[in-house]
Amino acid sequence: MTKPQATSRVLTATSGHEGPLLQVDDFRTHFETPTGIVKAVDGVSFTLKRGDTLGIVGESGSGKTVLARSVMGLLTGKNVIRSGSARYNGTELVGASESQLRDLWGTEMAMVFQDPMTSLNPVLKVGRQITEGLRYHLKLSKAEARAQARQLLDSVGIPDPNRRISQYPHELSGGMRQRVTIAIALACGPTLLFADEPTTALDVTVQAQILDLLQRQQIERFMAMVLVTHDLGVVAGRTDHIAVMYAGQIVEYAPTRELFANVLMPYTDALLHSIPKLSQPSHTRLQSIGGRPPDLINPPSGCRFAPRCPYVQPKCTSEMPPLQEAETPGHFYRCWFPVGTDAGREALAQNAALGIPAAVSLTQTLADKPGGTA
Amino acid sequence: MAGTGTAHLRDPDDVLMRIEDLTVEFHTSAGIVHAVSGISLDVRQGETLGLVGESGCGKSTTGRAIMQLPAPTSGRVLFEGIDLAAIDGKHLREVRTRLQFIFQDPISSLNPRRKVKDIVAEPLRIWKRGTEQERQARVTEVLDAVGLDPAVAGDKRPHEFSGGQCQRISIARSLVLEPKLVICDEPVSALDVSVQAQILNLLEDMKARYKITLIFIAHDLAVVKNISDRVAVMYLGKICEVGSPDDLYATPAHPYTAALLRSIPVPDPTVVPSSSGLLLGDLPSPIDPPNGCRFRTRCPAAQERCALEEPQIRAVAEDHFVACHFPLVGTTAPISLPMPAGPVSVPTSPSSRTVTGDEMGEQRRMTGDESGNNAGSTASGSVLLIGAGVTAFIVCSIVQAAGGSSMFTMSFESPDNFLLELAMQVTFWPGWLATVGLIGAGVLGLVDRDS
Amino acid sequence: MGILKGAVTRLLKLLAVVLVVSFLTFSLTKLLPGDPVVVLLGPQYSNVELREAVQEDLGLNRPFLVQYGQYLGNAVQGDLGRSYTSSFKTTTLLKQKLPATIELMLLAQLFSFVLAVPLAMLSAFRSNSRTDKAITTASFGLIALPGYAFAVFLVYFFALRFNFFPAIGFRPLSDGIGPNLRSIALPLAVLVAGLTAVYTRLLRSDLISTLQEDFILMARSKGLPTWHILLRHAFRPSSFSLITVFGIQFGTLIGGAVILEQFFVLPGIGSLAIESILKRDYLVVQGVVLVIAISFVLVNFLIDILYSILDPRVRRTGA
Ligand SMILES: Nc1ncnc2c1ncn2[C@@H]1O[C@H](COP(=O)(O)OP(=O)(O)OP(=O)(O)O)[C@@H](O)[C@H]1O
Ligand SMILES: Nc1ncnc2c1ncn2[C@@H]1O[C@H](COP(=O)(O)OP(=O)(O)O)[C@@H](O)[C@H]1O
Ligand code: SF4
Ligand code: SF4
Ligand SMILES: [Mg+2]
Ligand SMILES: [Mg+2]
Repeated sequence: MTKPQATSRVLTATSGHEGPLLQVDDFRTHFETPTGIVKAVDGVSFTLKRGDTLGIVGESGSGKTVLARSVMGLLTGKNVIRSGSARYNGTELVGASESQLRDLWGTEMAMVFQDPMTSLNPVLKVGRQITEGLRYHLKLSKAEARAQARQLLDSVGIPDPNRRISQYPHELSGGMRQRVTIAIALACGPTLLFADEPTTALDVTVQAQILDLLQRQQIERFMAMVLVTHDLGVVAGRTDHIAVMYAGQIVEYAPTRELFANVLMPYTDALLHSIPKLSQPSHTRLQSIGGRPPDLINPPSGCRFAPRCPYVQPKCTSEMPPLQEAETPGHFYRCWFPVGTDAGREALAQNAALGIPAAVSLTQTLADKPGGTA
Repeated sequence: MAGTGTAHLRDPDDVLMRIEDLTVEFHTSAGIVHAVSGISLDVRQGETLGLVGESGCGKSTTGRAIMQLPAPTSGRVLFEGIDLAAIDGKHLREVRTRLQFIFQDPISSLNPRRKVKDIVAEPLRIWKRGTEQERQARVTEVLDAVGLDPAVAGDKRPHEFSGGQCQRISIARSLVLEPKLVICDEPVSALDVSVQAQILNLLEDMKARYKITLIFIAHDLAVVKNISDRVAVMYLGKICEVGSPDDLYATPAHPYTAALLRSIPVPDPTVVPSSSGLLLGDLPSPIDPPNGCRFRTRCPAAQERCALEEPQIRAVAEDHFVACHFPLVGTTAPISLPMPAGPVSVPTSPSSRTVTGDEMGEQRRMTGDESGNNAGSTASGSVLLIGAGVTAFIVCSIVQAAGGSSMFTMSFESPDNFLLELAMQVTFWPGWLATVGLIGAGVLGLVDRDS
Repeated sequence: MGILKGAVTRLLKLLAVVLVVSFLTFSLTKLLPGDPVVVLLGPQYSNVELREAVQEDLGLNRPFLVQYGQYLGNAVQGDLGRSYTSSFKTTTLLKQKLPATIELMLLAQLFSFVLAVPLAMLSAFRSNSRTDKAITTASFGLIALPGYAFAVFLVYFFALRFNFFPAIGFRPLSDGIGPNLRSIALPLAVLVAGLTAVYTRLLRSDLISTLQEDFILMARSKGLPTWHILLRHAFRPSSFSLITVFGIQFGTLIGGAVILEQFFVLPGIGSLAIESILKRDYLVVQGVVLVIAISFVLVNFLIDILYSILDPRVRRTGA
């Protein structure tokens, strides 16, 4: 996907700093719970340039939300243990005080949440929820802030902003509420936007509208965006890079086109196969992933996907594969027997020969569809 | 209105269930909600009918109206040739054993306090089917069929299972009575893609194994295509298009179907999502839907005629029906829509009002709103209850002071002292009970609200 | 439009409640033993002629419903009858006793609200911190401690030992604000302590659950200062049960501070109620109950209005 270079708003915030806008290194977020330590995010690294979009994909419970919130520093609470490093524009966010972070929230980074039904305050008018940030951060007067809010509502595609500005959230439809939360997130001109499943709670038609809106705003404002979703379809056409998460780790990271063209990680492959596609005829058997994600208190010691993986070999359960770079530069994966390689094919054939159901049915699916990924 | 007519219905002798001109209206303080307005559908034995449409278009209402929960405002539901609206309650309950419903939210639709095997066995117990052993055998069989280990899963409770497993339990429960028709209301919407695939596969297996007929409600077109033999697209309480999935998806005839298809995200990075031809705006309010074709306020192909005249369902191809004055069939690229001259300037009534929070489908997560709404009324109810309780307290105190206790030395010389004492006791205890009851109920009301 | 219509129907409902309550008290006092004529005549009760004359005079020999109608008719005109035991009008008695009650009630409510809100916020925002635990323990203690025990304690220290405040008695406002406030300081303290504890607990738990909401996270992610989030975003949606109980307390404080009034010898409605119950002075009892019922109803009405101001979602349903 092509994007215009810097447009209307030019790099003001990044001026002092060379390099990526967001640099996350071996980032961890654990929760202390009565039953043990939940390793929700366990050693994640990625970088994000201004103007780029990173898609984070994974099943529910894989740590996407925790990653986004924790990088931003929104997770407080005594049971949260953050470690590793997350640098925004050169500033270390891990260990920063709440007041340091607060100076960045809204003006430098902002977040759009999953459920627009619950992320707006039900007792405050829409206008107020937009203007409060403007007034606090940009010190606008009441009238200026309102004018700005109207303009924001207009720019996120809300018809009749004059009327909407004095309505309450419950008077708006789900799609419109999500537009409002986007307007709020964009109000103070952040350079980094986290969108945590912004369309999961919405209808397909509205989903398309909202994704379009986010993309347009991102390009216009030359922001960096982290788009979290569990739907590979959502990120396919709208991101520059994709990070696939599984059990708190990034298991595959690549430029979007590269990822879809050369899937290496069996988990990504399985996710892709489990989506029903419009191009398939009706009643096509779906390749589902058996079982469910591992317990994050005691994750498997080797590869975390091993209990569900059709390619699994003895080595996988004993040794955790590192995140390594493939022949194609910029494509990282965490697997001993990657899809589409000789090692992978061999592993799958072996398992199929042993009659392991996941491997058998995957082999069948691949045989049915010669253009498949393997 | 958009899409009445029966051209798409098949020979009544050939179908398991047929609904004719089904209308469901809800009377609310804001006005009459036209949730479903005169739709007709049928489903053959062994077929899967997919019902798609945006949230709030009336899919669930249709499904529930088939079950007569609540009974439709008008129209007929013929199941195995019997009109369900015409039969009495006992008979209806009996018919319902052959008609099952699976809900969207897998976890909250199961009783959290009961064991899985009891949940699954419950319909059998209610209908006194077989002996206890036969029941257990049946439960074991269906649990096994849906991919749960009966020995392990049977004694657990729903909260110990993931969403996907809970959906398996719901499916097992719906299958245990050997139903003919199962209506699944968004059974996979709350699930992850990987689990969704498991459940879709499971439903296909169950269909083959138990020879059931499915009505599958969903808003995800790809999911519906995958599982259905016939698809009906709904918009604002009306049927837009009916056809076989492969046909309907390849050559959508209704502008709404085309727009829906275009908004699906494709898991293929080479397909650049285009914003052209996307539907704009929101669903109009079902309280006063647009006249003429209900889709005209958002239809890119709307013409004057669409506001004046409601399109009737008619065939555009073999087993492919559409309710539109200007269907797209014949055009392979649905994007080249016949554009109206200028923007869609059909006479707009107040109907361009959009759906507000509580007019939307019930399955939207609206916890915030609902608890808010209840908050006021429960709380003020509680105040009244507590107020009444306190008043009762005062009154009781008066009674008590007046008669009971010897502490109050005012003596009654009169002979009916005993009777008075009796009257005292009679009013006294109920009075205190009422006091405690009223205050308790009020406080409970408040506590309930808190939780 | 919706609001107005809702308010009118609500008002009508509440009026019905007042009617029912007045009818119930009226009939109860009629059904009950203890003929007021006995009270009036004392030993002369055995004099049949006299008895009948008095009954005639008081209208007691008329049919029950007629009596009630008359009572109601007079009540609407502000006449609640005359006490059987003293020659005072019921309204006069009420007027005498109301100021102390109302002043005590209003001040207690005001102080406890003003104290409870910041305490609850502190407690909820730093939940499970040492501050929170201290506040929680203190409020539990105060809730568990009976008001009269606390009163004894206060009187012992602040009145008898150090002589800061008078131990008993009431000086009306006309004696000057200083003496007036000093005279009610101790009972006020007792009430405020109890109420503050209740309000703090209530608001704290609601605040804690509100602070878990997505919209609070959203507000935080805007980079707003904490006080802003607590006051603007969290307080209003958390205040519903507080407001409810706050309203109930108005009602109960009018008639319910009996023990306190007795203890501190305050001329309040509570003591009036007890006295007249003991004396079988039913007209006064009815008057007191009516006043309590009406204040309950009024407060309930105001609370409902307040709800719709606080929560826009209630506004529309007109609940
Ligand atoms: N009990 C009710 N009272 C009032 N209106 C109702 C009621 N039940 C449904 N509606 C309204 O009827 C319309 C159709 O609702 P329905 O639940 O059938 O939609 P749906 O297509 O299933 O949507 P979703 O995808 O959100 O489940 C909506 O406008 C809804 O708000
Ligand atoms: N506050 C918390 N305390 C303990 N565990 C948590 C907390 N928040 C999230 N988790 C756990 O972290 C894991 C990842 O959660 P999340 O990031 O929300 O997943 P996703 O967004 O990918 O669906 C889950 O197992 C979840 O239960
Ligand atoms: S092949 Fe082995 S290392 Fe690779 S994903 Fe499967 S289990 Fe993990
Ligand atoms: S062209 Fe007319 S009839 Fe057809 S869908 Fe559009 S508005 Fe309705
Ligand atoms: Mg999440
Ligand atoms: Mg529904």
